Amino acid sequence: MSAMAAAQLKAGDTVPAGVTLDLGFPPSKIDLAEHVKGKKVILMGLPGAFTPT
Amino acid sequence: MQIPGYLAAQDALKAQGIDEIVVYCVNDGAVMTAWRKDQGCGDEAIGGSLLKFYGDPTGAFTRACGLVLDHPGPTYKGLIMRTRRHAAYVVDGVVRAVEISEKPDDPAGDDFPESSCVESMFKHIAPGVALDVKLPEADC
Repeated sequence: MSAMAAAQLKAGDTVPAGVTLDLGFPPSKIDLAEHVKGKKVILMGLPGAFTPT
Repeated sequence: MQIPGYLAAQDALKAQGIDEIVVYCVNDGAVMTAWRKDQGCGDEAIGGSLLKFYGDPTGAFTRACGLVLDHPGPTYKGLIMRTRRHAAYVVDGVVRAVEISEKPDDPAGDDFPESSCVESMFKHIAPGVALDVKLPEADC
């Protein structure tokens, strides 16, 4: 699956591997696919920090 | 608008076995950490609440999820190649349910965010269980 043209996330998919998120600053690079193994999580993406909505 | 509801409901979510709520945006880690503090979700990179705030500064994770927000409306407001408003319930790395809040005339889910808010997601996590939490008025 190409990171540039991935299909929209849907039930049954796995969390994308090989892509990190930044935690803190300077950031820790978190491999989310690894991070969520064995856990129950809610993954929430929003359009922007500090936006009124 | 999602955040206050999830924060208010974090104990109910913990009781259903939720280990973490991963909040991410196409922003840097410093902004996300500052927003986390602003939202009363903790003031350290780790710890303070069930909600952890992550940056996806290059948008690589957003692209890998196929959830790039590129509608001209939000783009005009300065939200360039951001993340479409969504929430997913993930168990051991596998997505069980995804809710994306968007409509043709509400591409960023500003007006109708409900599907990705905590009441909606709780129904996926604990079908048939009432979410017995007073949600803040600011919640969607």
